[in-house]
Amino acid sequence: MTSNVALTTDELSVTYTGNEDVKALNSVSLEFPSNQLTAIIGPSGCGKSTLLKSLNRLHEIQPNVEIEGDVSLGDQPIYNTDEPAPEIRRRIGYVPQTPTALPLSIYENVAYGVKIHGDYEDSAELDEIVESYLRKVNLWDEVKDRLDTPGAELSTGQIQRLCLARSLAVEPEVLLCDEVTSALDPISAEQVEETLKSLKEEYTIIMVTHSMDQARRLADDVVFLYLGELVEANDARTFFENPQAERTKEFISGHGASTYLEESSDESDSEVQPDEQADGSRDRPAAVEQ
Amino acid sequence: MAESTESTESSRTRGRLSTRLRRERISSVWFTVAGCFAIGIFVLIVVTMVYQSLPLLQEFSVAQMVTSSNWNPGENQFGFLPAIVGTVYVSILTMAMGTPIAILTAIYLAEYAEGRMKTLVGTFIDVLAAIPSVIFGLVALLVVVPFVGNYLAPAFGSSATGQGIFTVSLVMSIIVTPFMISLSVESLEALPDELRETSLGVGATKWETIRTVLLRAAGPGIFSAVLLGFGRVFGATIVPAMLIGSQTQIPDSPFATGQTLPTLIVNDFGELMSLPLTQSALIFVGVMLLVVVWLFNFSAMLIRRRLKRRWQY
Repeated sequence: MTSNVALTTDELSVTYTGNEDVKALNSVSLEFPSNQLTAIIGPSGCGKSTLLKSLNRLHEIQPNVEIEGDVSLGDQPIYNTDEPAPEIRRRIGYVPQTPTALPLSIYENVAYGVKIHGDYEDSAELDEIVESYLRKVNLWDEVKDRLDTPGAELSTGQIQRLCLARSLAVEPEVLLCDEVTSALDPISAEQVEETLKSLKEEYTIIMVTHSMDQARRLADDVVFLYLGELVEANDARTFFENPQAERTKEFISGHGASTYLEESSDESDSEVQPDEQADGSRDRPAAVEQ
Repeated sequence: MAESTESTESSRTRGRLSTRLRRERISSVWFTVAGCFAIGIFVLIVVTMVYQSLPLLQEFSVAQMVTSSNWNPGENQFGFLPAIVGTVYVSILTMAMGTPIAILTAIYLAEYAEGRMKTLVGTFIDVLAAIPSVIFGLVALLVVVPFVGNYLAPAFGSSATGQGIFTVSLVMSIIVTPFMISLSVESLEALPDELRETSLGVGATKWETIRTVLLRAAGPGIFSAVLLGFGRVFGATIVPAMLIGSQTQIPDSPFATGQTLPTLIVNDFGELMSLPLTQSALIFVGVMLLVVVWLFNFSAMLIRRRLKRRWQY
């Protein structure tokens, strides 16, 4: 849609070295458009998280990881560059899969990165920053009376929004989210999804998800990985309605099929009308019958 | 035919069930007995020690003995102050030297060391922890005592034989550091990687992550490690007995000789136990040690709980 590209990968390969070398990502070249939400999908172990973590050099903290190729933020490379990794990671934020509160108060959790970078004049400005980002993730009203209590005392859903606030507070250009709703109950997950939806106007969000439904609901663009290879990257409508690659078709229909089959086999004992099941499922039940 | 098989089968399983239930009851009794054994031993020790120190407590007041520095059991003078001061002195000096080294090493091992280096350093620390302390005492007599006596103490303007508070503290800090390191490394390595990723993900450096996030999150564990070290120093016997010089006086410098509560017991119990009041006095020293260690553990538990709540993640 918009022609602006926030992040580009150029022949990016990631290898886990060890007793046996495992190539987790094989020469992936991609463009992530700015101010859009791109979902990275694929079966477990296809390299989704590997791709995400190599986008802001977070993989460097692990031993035995080799990275080839490069990633560019705008037109600036992030690997072959003099810019130190912490500054890269400030500009490309990361929210992990598990909701993680730092061992600090709610206030300090949000202020954490801001304080490190010294991006504020005085404590009044810091207060303002903390409040504005807590509002941005719809958490302010729930926590404004207990900013000094430990962040870990919040519910997991609240902690995940706290994580978003903390990441956003350092004003990143891109936000990487690793299955941020997978550890949450449905209601909290929905709140986090709402938050992400409202954020994508302002930020470039790249999100790993294993839920096709979530990708359909949120994504503007979809990247499909399979065994470390890029299979297809397209805007969401084309991807779901008119997938180009054979494997994408299989994955989309197969995914729908497995959901449908699980559901119907669960219900088969109680003899629920299979038609109702099929109609209720938004995935393609037609593909199942073959 | 079929019916009879069925009924024998059911009576057999029923018989088996009652055996199983009986075993269940007996086994739970055994476990309870084993658990209560710990309580029994505890009560036995406390009752024996308090009972045995009563003769002394009937003669002298605790306040008087704890503040007097005259220790002369032959003449019924039981001033515990020198040994108390010596114990506190050694403990604080040991921890002041050992704790920073322990925490720095633990951070290095858990967060910085990689591959072969990590294995190497880690193995050596485990090996150090496994050396019996009497061997540290022997080596220290040959190496540390002459070094302190000939070079270190004169450099600070005091003349000393080399035996004394400082020597004990130095050696004790080498003895307890491996324990503190192992426990601290465990606490740090038990932290989820998400903490590191979260912190690095907003642009923190590794050191900022360690200082603000990891040391807090692992704080209660590290705190326990330090307190366990403290407890070990407090009750240490053989190394202080070999190296402290065993003169019951209030030390006037770190290089002075002295006495700790445990060394007071080991140095005097052989010959002087024949005097009933002295025996009672030495057992009372044991009571004081126990009480202090318990107080220590108790307050440690309270503080740890507070830290855990405050620094939860």
